[in-house]
Amino acid sequence: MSTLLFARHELLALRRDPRAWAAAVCLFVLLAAALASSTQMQRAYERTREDAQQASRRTWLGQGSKNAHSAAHRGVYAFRPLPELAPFEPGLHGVLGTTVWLEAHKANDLRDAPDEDGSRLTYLDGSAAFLARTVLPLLVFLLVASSIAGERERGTLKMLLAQGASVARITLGKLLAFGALLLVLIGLAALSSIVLTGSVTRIVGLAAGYTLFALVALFIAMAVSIGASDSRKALVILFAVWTAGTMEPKHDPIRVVPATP
Amino acid sequence: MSNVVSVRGLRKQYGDVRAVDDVSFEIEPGHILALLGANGAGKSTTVHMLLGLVAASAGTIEIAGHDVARDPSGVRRASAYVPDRLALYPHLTGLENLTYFHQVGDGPALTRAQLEAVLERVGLDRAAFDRRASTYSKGMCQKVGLAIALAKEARALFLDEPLSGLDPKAANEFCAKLREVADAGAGVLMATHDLFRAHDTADEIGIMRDGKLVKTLRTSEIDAAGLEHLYLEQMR
Repeated sequence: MSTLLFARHELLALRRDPRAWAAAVCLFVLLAAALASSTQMQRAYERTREDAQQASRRTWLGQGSKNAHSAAHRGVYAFRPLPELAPFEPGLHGVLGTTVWLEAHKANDLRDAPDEDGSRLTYLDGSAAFLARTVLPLLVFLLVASSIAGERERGTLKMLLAQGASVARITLGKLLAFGALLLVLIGLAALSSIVLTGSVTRIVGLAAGYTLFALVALFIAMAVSIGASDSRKALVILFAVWTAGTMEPKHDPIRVVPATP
Repeated sequence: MSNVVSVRGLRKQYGDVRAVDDVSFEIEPGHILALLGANGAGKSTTVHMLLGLVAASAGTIEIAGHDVARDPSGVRRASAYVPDRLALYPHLTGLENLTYFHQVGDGPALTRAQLEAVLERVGLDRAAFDRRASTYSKGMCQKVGLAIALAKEARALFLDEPLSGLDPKAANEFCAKLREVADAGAGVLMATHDLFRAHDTADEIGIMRDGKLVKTLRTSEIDAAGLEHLYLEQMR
């Protein structure tokens, strides 16, 4: 018998499972909402930055005709653009500062950081990256917990073994099915991110990273499901793993070291 | 005629406990052997060893010429199993369950019409073919279990308490269908608590106690009341 038979069966089970649909729809709605809101914020920031940059330029030009060296000493503000992937993950933008005063002979630090000491820098930032880091493994754990443990609990595993199937083949088939599903989910999320940000290479790199992350979650969930006697136990263990893995790490405030001239 | 099932000196040891102790029996094609015994007598362990789901500590098992220890895949191809609580996938229909288990068992390629004919043969109502198994009664599930064995053309059929939880009508229907399966040439082993249906359906009776097969006899040698008397005497 083919491993693909088990994979096809698992996909059919998922297709007919309203919980799987509800979980996938929830993940997509949350991701879409996070991406849409952060894209809107990025656009608003870019508009403000553009206006401020033009105002600074106008001020500089307004100094009239003078010696070029003196004009350079007058200085000008430069406003830092948001990183390309900011709609997905804000990163350290808020900590590093948004503005630098450019003047001759001086190396000034970036300033006007909304979160200067990093105290507002949090893992739970509500970004799409946060959702991918937390909700995606939770979805994997919820869907996979009962894959083998549920078969054992229902008694279908014994039936399959009596029909000549092996646990290894059944597991491989299920891994193929869940892996394909994750690829589709991450692929769709990556496509919509490319449309929103226009950045192809970085989004593809990110998607590859998150695929690897989701596959690790899938292997952990499958291992727990194989070892657990029933799906409830598997779910409790996986929920404990998820809680431990998504807990906010405690960090000290960031100490900004001034740049040496 | 060569035996479909041949068991010699079968033993299963769990630590200090001997769950099955020196059990030997044979089943001819077309015959039903009913294993009787109290809970924990070793009936289910014996069935699981015949299927290769549990490794025997000692002894030999041959199913349709395949040795369980040396050729477990051959044994599984030649045999079918109906557990006490037949597990079907609730999200699949009866027909889809049959198709899936049939494909898993590497059975001969069958068309939808042929699979429907198998379900009809075990007495499943046609209206239930395309209904999800989550709506099935236990009797209907057991019929699908028999259909899986029939579709596979299994030479040996092992049933572990298939009548438990069935109402008398469903149990009678099931036994009648089981008899048909045996009459078609399969060797059947049924572990059960139901003395009277075992007497009515089986050709031979084996009584197990504390892992030992303490008595074997042909059902033609004794009536149902006599069997009950003998059984209770063995359990003392």
